[in-house]
Amino acid sequence: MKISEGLRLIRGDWVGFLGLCLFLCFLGVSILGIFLTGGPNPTLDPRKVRLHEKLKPPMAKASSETLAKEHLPFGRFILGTDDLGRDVFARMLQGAYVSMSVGFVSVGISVLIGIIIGGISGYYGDRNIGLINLIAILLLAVGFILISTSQITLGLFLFLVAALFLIFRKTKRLSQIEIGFIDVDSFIMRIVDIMLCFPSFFLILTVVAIVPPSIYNIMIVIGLTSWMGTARFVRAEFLALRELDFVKAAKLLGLSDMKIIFVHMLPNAIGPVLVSATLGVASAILVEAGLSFLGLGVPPPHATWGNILADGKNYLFDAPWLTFIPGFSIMLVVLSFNLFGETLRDVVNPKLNA
Amino acid sequence: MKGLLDIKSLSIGLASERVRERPFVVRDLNLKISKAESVCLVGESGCGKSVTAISIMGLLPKGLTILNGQIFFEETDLLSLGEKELRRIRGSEISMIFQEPMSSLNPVLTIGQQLKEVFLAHRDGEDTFGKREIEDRCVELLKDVGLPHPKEQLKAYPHMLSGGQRQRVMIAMAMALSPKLIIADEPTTALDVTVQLQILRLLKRLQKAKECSLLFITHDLSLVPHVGDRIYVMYKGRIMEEGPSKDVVLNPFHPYTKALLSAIVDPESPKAQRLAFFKESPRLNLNTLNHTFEKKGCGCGYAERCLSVQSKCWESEPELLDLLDLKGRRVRCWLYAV
Repeated sequence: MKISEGLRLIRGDWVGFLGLCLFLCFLGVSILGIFLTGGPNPTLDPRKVRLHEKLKPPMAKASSETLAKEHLPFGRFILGTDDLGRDVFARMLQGAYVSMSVGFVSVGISVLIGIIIGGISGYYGDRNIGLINLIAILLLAVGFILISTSQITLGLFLFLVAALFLIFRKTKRLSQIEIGFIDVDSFIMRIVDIMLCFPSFFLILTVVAIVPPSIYNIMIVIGLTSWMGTARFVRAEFLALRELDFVKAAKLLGLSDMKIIFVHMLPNAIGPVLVSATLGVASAILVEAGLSFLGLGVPPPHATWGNILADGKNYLFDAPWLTFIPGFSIMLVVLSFNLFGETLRDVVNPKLNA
Repeated sequence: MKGLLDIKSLSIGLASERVRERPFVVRDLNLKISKAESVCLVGESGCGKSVTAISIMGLLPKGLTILNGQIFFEETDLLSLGEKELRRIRGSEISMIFQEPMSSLNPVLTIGQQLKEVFLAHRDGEDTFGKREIEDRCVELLKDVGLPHPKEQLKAYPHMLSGGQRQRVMIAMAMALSPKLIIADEPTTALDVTVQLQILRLLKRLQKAKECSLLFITHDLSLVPHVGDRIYVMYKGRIMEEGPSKDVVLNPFHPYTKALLSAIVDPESPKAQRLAFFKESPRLNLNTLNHTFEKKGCGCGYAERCLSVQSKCWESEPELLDLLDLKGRRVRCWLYAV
């Protein structure tokens, strides 16, 4: 489908279009924020402490001595200042990038894992588990644990062994051995069930307490703990799709399994996945905000919407803008993304836009 | 006459141990297709036609297994090949056309994308195509199957085409790499009668032009004279009669073939007479069905519905007998046993 055609369709649905515009605004702001607040001598300094200017309301004029030392837009604090006199506008700009990137990267990770695991489970579901594959999975898991506990050489070695197992399984007699009492689908879905047993926020809390806090770790942890929904969606779609004639036809034309899964089946299953992904972006932003709120997220002095919110809670009655501004921004991003996601689902479905 | 496809005593049964007692899905089937020949496989629903076709492609569903037999395709036994070798053969050497053109094209990919897939999947061969070349070939193919505006249609999604047009696209995909054998599994069942004939003629024309063999599976004997050189009539997983299609249709021997032919709507004959073969089979009740299942393997499968049944029919099953005076015709019935 051409991009121009897609845009035309999105414009036809004004709610979705509004969502897209709003979302693009936030994206622009967050990229702008990197340039305005980054570097050694930023235009808008989010770290600058001005104790004499603390808890100024939005649009308050800065005092003359502050203005003499630094440049502020319109000579005002557009979104006020916090309890240390830091400019909330600058902090919001800096935090926008963190919140958006956490949202997208972690959802990207979780969708990727979800699609692969759900796809395997749905497509190969009724086969028995090969002993070789099981060993390879166990090796990979142990290797991953070793790497994350910084025993990198041993972990990489296990990864290598697992890869060798998978490469040479065709030639070995061992690959004939199958474990009969449980098939691939049940095995994977029970793992998903186990993952779902843990309340995800507490799982994240536990992991964050072990690994050092940084933006990247947060992204990875959120991604690794939220793929189960996507996996279930993809599996359910694949179970229905694999019985359809066009999948059989693709097999009969001699296409490889990978091609059938990713070229033929995935585009048919992507609709609900996209919607759940847009919801996922929203919830990832909220989780990051929640972690920062608890002081386990991105470490200070780096601002995120979550820790601005957290810092502001002590001054809820004296300086309500400290909680309202980040809270409202989070709501707008989440809302715009949900609206856009809903429209996107219809646009990518060729059957609906004949 | 050298065979392109040679199925030798193929038996397909249910995989599970517990249901081994049930009859075979396909039992001891022999089928031969020579080069550039078109062969019809005819029978009612559930008689094992489609399962036979799928087993040639090596894509039997999980519940079914091949119990014995060989399927030779140009000297290689398809049943002994691994998944990788089979994948190479599928699409490029043997291809298949399905019954339902509505569901056998991917709804989210354009016709062009799906056609190109076929070329891309078999790129490892000696004739590799460039991107431009593939596109030209696709247009050429769509022109061959008689789609109007082939260039524009490449960008169309399946839902924009009618059933007949989709079936033409399916035929184009099946023909893309000039396979040696095309299996058409009831390709016209979902289409209306006028389109049916067009599609049949198209298939026949392309088959003649490209000199490939055709295995045409149908339950509709009236189509057979349009398509097949030879015909196999199947019932309960057994070949009941075989021979040159014109001879069989004009002069059927087996009672089942006669019954099938009588089911063709012929406005000239009175309705009662048409249905007589099926309606008045007196033994068709549960008791006789159980009776034959119990004594599986002995007795003719068609006995319980046969109008000219003899006591011999219940006791043992006849071989597929050569009819000496008529070349190429064989029939499995005690009526013609010497």
